[in-house]
Amino acid sequence: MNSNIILVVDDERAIADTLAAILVMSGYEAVATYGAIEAVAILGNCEPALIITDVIMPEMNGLELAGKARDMYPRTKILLMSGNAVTQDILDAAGVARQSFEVVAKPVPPRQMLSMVASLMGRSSGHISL
Amino acid sequence: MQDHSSVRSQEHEGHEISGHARITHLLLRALTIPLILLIVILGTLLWATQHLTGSVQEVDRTDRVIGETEDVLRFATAMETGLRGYLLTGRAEYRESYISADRGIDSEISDVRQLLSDGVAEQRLQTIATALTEWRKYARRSIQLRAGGEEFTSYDANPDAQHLMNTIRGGCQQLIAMQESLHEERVQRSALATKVVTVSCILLFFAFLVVITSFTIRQVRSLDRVFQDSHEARLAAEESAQRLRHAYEAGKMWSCQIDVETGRIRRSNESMRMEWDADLLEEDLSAWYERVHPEDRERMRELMSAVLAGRPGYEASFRVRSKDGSYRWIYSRGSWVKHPDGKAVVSGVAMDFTEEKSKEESLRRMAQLLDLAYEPILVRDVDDRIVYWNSGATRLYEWTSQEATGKGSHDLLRTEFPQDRAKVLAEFKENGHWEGELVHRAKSGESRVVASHWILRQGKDGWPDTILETSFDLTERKRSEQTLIRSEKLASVGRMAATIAHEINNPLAAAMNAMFLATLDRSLSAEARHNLDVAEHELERVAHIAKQTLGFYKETGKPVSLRLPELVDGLLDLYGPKLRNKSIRVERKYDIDTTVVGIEGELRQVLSNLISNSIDALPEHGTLEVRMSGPVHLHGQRGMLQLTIADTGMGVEAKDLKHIFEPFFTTKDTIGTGLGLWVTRELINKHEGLIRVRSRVGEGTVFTVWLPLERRHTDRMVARAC
Repeated sequence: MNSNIILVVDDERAIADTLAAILVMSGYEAVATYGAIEAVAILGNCEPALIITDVIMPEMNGLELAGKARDMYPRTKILLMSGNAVTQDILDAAGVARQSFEVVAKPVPPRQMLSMVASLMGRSSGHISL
Repeated sequence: MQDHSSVRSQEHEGHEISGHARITHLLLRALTIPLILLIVILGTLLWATQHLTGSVQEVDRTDRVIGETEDVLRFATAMETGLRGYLLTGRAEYRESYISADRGIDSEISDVRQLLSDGVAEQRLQTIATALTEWRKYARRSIQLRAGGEEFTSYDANPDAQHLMNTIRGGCQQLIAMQESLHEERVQRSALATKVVTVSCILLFFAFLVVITSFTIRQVRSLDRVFQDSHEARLAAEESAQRLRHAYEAGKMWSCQIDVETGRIRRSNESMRMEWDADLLEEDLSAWYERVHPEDRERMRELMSAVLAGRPGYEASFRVRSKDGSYRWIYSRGSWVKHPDGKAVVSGVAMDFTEEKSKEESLRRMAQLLDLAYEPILVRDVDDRIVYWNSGATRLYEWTSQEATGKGSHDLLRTEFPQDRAKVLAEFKENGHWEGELVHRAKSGESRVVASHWILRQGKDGWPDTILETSFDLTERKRSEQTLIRSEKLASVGRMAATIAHEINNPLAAAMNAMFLATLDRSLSAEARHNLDVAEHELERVAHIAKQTLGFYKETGKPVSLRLPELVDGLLDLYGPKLRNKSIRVERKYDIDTTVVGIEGELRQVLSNLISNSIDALPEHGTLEVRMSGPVHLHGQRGMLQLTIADTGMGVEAKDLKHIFEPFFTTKDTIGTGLGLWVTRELINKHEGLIRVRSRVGEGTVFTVWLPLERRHTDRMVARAC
C-alpha cells in the first residue's frame, strides 16, 4: 500500500498525461490512466492517496469509479473534474457532498489544481520552486 | 304626477270661482242702475199721474161747485119769482113753484158745502145760507099772511127781502166768479203738470236710453268677455283632462284614491281597458289586501297603514291577483292630497308592468347565464359605452361591472388594434361584425391579448344599437408561445454552449497543463518564459470565460419545487474558495420558508451569475449580502419571492446601467462575455419573474429578483392570513 500515489483518470490522454506530469514534477507520485476500467484494475493493486478523475468518460463514468474507490478505500480522497452543467447536476444528484467528494469545474488552471492537491494531500503547495 | 294634476285642478277651480264672482258683480252692475232708474221714472210717473188726477178732480169739483151754485141761484130766483107771483096773484101755482124750489135749495147748498174746501168760499156760502134762512122766514110769513087773507106787504114793497135776495144772488154770483177763477187757475196748473210730466218722462227716457247704451252695453260686453273667458277656461280644463287621460292611457296607468274614512279604494277608469281588473273601480282596502300576493301582503299592509297613519307618501311595487287568478305586477306611488272640498285623501297613480317585469326577468336570467360564461362578454352601445359586463370580463380585466358600466370600452381597456383603428371600425360598420386579435389592459395595467369577436345588433327601428363583444383570452397562450420562443433561443444558445464546453474545455485543460509544464523548463530564456506566462494567462482567461458563461448550461429539465435558500447556500459553498481568497464577508438573511417552481439548472445559473458578478465586483474585505423575503405582490400579482444580492463593490455607472442586461454588453473588458446578465434576465423572464438593478459608483450594486412562489404555498399563506 502506497498512500502517496495520485491516480489521474481522464479519457483525454493529453489531460491525463500532462496533469500527471505536472504532479510528478511537483514532487508527487502520480499515475495517469485513460479510463475508469483501467483505473479500477490499478485499484486492485494499490490504494492511492488521491484519485483525480474526469466525470464523463465512455464505458464507466467518473462517478461510478469514485463510488467503487470509496467502497474499496474509504480513506482515499477523490477529486471530480466536471466538464459541464450536466455533470454538475449528476454530481449533485449523487449526493457528492454527502460522500465528501471534491468537485472542480474543468478546465482547472494547473496552479489552482496544485493548491487543491496540496490541501487534499495535507501539505503545503510550495513544492515547486521556479 | 298626481300632485301636479291636483294642483292644476285647484288653480282651475279658483279661476272659475273668480269668474262667478265677476259675472255676479257685472250682472249687478248691469241691472242695478237701470233698475233704480226705472223705479225713479215709475215713481215720477206715478207722482205726476196722481198729481194730474188731483188737478183734474179739483177742476171737476170746481165745475160741480159752479154748477151747484148756479142751481142754488136758480132755485133762489125760482123761490123769489114764486113768492112774488103768489103775493101778487095769490095763485097756488106760484106757491107750488116756490115750495118746490124751497125744497131743492137746501140739498143744493149742502152739496156745495161738501164740495168746498177753502175757507173764503165756505164763508161766502155761509153768508148765502144765512141770508137764505132770513129770506125764507120772511117768505113763509108773507105766504102765511096772504093765505090767511091777512094784510101783507108785497114783495116789491119789502126792501129787506129784496136786499136779502140780492145778498143771496150776489153771494152766489161771487162764489161762481171765485170758482170760475179757481177753475181757470186749476186747469192751467194741471196743464203745466202734464207738460212737466211729459217733458220729464221724455228726458228720463232719453237718460235711460243713454245709460243703457253707454253703461249696460259695456257691462254686457264685459259679461260676454267673462263668459268667453270661462268658456276658454273650461275648454282648457277639458283639454288638460283629456291630456291627462291620454297620458294615463299611454302609460297604461290609472289613478287611485283611498278614502280614509270609509277605507275604500277608488280607481279611475281612464285606462282600465285592461280587462283583468276593469270591474273593480271601487274596493275595500281589506279586500284589496287579500288580493295582494302573499309575499307582498305584509309589506303592503304595513306601508298602507303607515300612509293612512300620516306618512306623507308611498312608492311600491307589488303583485295583485287579477280576475283570472294570475298575479300582475303593479307599480304605484302616491301621497296625501287635499281635495277642493277640503277633504284630504291618499291619492296616487298605478301602472301594470307585468310584461316589462317578465321581459326584465327573462333578460335577467339571460344576463345571469351570460355571467356564468368564463369568457369575457360585454355589450356596448354604438358610442362604445359599456352597457353590460359579465363576470368573465371582470375576471380578465379586473374591473367590476359597476366600474366598467357606462365607460367607453376602448378607453377603459386601452385597446390596441392590430391595424389602424379607423380601418377596423369602418370594416366593422360595413360588415356588421369583426374579429381579430386585440391587446387590452387590465385594471392593474397588465396587458391581455384576446381574440375578440364583435357583432353589431340592429334595434327595432332598424338602426344599429348594440354591439356584442365576446373575447377569448390568449394571454397565457401568447406567453407560452413567447416562453417557448425564448426557450428555443436559449436552447440553441445552450446547445452551442454544451458543444463549446465539450469541445473546448478538454483541449483547453490539456493545453493549460502543457503550457504549465513548459514553464517548468529551467533552460528557457527569460523572453520565452515571459511569452509562456502571457500565453498561460490568456489560456486561463479563456478557461474562466468558458466556465463563467457556459459552465452550468443544462439542456433539459423539468420545473420542480425548489428551496432557493438551499440553492443559494450550495452556490456560496461552491464559491467558498473564491470568497475566502478575497476575504469577503457574506451576510445572509432568509425570511422565507416557501418554495418556487423552476428549472433547477437555470435558476442555479441565474444565482451563480449574480453571485459571481458580485464577487468580481467586490474588493478584498468587501461584503456580499443575500436577502430573501416574501410573499410580495407586485401590481396585484400573485405572491412573489424577493431575492436581493447586494455587494459593496465598485458599482456601475448610470450610462452603463441602462445597457446592463443587453447581450454582449460588458464592463469587464478582460474577462466578460457580455452574455451573463442577458442570459440571467432571459431565464428570469422565462420563470415569469422580474429583475431590477440599482447601483451607485463607489458604493455598490444591488440586484433584486422576484420569482413567483409556488401557488399552493401562497394560497395556504393567504388562507392563513385570512
